[in-house]
Amino acid sequence: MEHTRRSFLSQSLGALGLLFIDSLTPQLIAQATQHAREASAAGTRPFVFLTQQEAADFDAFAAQIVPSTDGTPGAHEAGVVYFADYVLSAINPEQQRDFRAALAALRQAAIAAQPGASSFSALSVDKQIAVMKAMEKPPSSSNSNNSVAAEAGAGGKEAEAFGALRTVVLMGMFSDPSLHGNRSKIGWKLIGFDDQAYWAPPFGYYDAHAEEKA
Amino acid sequence: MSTTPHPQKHYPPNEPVDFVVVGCGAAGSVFARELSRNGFSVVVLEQGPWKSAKEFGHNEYLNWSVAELTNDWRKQPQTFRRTPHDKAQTQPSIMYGRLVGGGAVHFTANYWRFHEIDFIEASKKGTIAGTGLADWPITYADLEPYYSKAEWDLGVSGQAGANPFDPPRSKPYPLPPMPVKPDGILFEQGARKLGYHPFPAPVAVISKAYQGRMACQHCGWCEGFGCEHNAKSSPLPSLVPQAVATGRCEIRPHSYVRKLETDANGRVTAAIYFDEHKIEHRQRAKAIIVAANGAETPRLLLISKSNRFPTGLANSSGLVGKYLMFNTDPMSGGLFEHELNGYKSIEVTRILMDFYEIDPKLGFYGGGGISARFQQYPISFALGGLPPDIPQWGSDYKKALAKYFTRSMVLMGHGTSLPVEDNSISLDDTLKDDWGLPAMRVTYKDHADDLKFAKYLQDRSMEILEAAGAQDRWRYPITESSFAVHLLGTCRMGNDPKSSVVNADHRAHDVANLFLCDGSSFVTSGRGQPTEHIQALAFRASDRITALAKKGEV
Repeated sequence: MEHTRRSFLSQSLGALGLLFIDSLTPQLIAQATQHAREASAAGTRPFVFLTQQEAADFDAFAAQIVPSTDGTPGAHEAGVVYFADYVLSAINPEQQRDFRAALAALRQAAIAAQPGASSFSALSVDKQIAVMKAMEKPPSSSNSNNSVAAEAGAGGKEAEAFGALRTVVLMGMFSDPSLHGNRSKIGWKLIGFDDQAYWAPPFGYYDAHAEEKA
Repeated sequence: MSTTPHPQKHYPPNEPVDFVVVGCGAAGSVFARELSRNGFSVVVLEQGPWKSAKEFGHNEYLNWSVAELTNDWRKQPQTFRRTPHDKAQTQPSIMYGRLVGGGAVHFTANYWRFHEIDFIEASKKGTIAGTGLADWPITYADLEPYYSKAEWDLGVSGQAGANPFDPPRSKPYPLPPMPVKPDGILFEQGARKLGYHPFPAPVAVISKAYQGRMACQHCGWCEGFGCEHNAKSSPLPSLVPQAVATGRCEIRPHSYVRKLETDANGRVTAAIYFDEHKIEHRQRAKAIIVAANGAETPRLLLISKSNRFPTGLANSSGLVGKYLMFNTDPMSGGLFEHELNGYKSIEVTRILMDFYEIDPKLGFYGGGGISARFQQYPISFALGGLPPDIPQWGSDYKKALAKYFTRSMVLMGHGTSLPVEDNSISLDDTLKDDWGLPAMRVTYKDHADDLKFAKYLQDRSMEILEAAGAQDRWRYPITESSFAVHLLGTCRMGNDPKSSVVNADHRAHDVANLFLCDGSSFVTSGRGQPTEHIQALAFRASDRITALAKKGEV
């Protein structure tokens, strides 16, 4: 069944054609974790995979997925663009092509919306949002009750690109900070998640206030 | 040779051991321990690695992305089609634990017995046209001692007698229930208002120190993760070390079986497998037990075809791979005034079984339970945890994330799937895996009654959420299955070799020294939590196989 806990998993893994399911070895993970620690200690790392233009576009896209509003930081401040660059260079380099294609689709959509525009990040915020809304909607003709592809969420290249980029933004926003996103635990603080390694009851309001029963 | 977490006996491959066990998961680990304790020499061949608790962590991104605990679709691609008439497309459809301990390492730890009715539903309620609904060749009474054995040997927390629908049991749970979570309290309040009977969920997590293992620390990272405290009662801290401690069991990780070999008499003689360097080995055996899960067990039999078994090993019935069942899991959500913090502690602390059997007047088949839970970690929640009608990006999305994460809960239905012959595991015509073996092809279309019952459970869940005082309630859409982790029914048990693959002893009807025992053995799907049933079957089968072997009948 779609939209179940199982599909949360398949959805998160389905973007970018299984972007993040790869043949990582424990050695690679250890290497990557060490790399992350060193880079983190050294401050903001230079981009390894993304060009400056790509980084600017993705950063602008991320800033609209989780914007800096109501006095709280968003995906830009959480360093989501650094997460993307890091995982695509240190962990999943073979997925660079798909990610780059999704960014290219974003850029094309920006140019189509505003002829003469050089990039998505060059658009005004209002235009950026309009472009993203247009991309998000799958073409209605792709809906087919019997199509496995339709069930799996395929619905036009632009919608796929939007979904893939959104997925990476959210992974970067809410991942373990050792992967260069979720800086200062901005994402976790936003939702109220505390990464303490162990807990003891009461866990929340309702067990703390439960009436004692004989 | 790989290093392993425990020193163990090593057998030369050319020397036939008493038993080769294919797969070291929920069932295979039971055979490993029981048969080695009973004096037999045992070699267990496991596809995946052998990890220890210290290797498990809480990194959501790495955990899901690396496929360290599960099958890797890049190396072992799958295809899916809705019906046999459709063209199969390459897509992930089946996920299973691929390491020593199997799916029981990363499972949510719900640990449910079957009830009496599960074994005799066809004769009690009648068969259903277009399905293979049938009675099991064993009864609840046959299996009851083995449910108790599983609960005590592994370590299960629960409260006997708290569920008025519970089947008879010979022993209480060995450990008291886990502390109730806020979602469990609200669920209990709502359900009781409606006249239902919620009770503490039985879980394979230890609420107190048990058999040298420390109690659960409530970290909250159960579903999808290995337990770094060894508080989850998977085979990894219990059955596996106990098996190798006998000095008669060798567990070989990274051993991917590509074929079971047979002789001129139609008996299995060896398992041919690849090691982690893709070097082929041949382990001889006097008998073989396949416990590779409900998808890989039939796949291996189909791959192991020969002149003597042209449609696949043990497949004279033509039913190897058929009658695949997934279980349904309809979900609904609710938002509450105060913090629930559902991400803390285990996923499920309260369930109910009032709908285990439903009124026949409803006009459809089905049965199941409902659990209160919150199993979504931060990334998963952001990707799909909010109500579907809330914007999925932008400032309203951000506000909703902040509002819902700590204050919402999910009610999940756990429902039946009918056995339908077309639903199956088969071999893809063209696609191969990284070892050159035919890829798994999944064919699955939910029976209409399964979807009707899923909707029924979701309706009841929505009512419970309302009675519990939810400020907002929502449904996650119920659609046809195309991805599953419960893998059931593909080498079903039965007394008739024409309509089943194994007999009541799990012996293949066609091959005297071949036994199959895992989710594939299921005749019916149960009500949504198969792990305890799989392990009870394996404990019982271990006794049956031991008795047969000691009489020289294997």
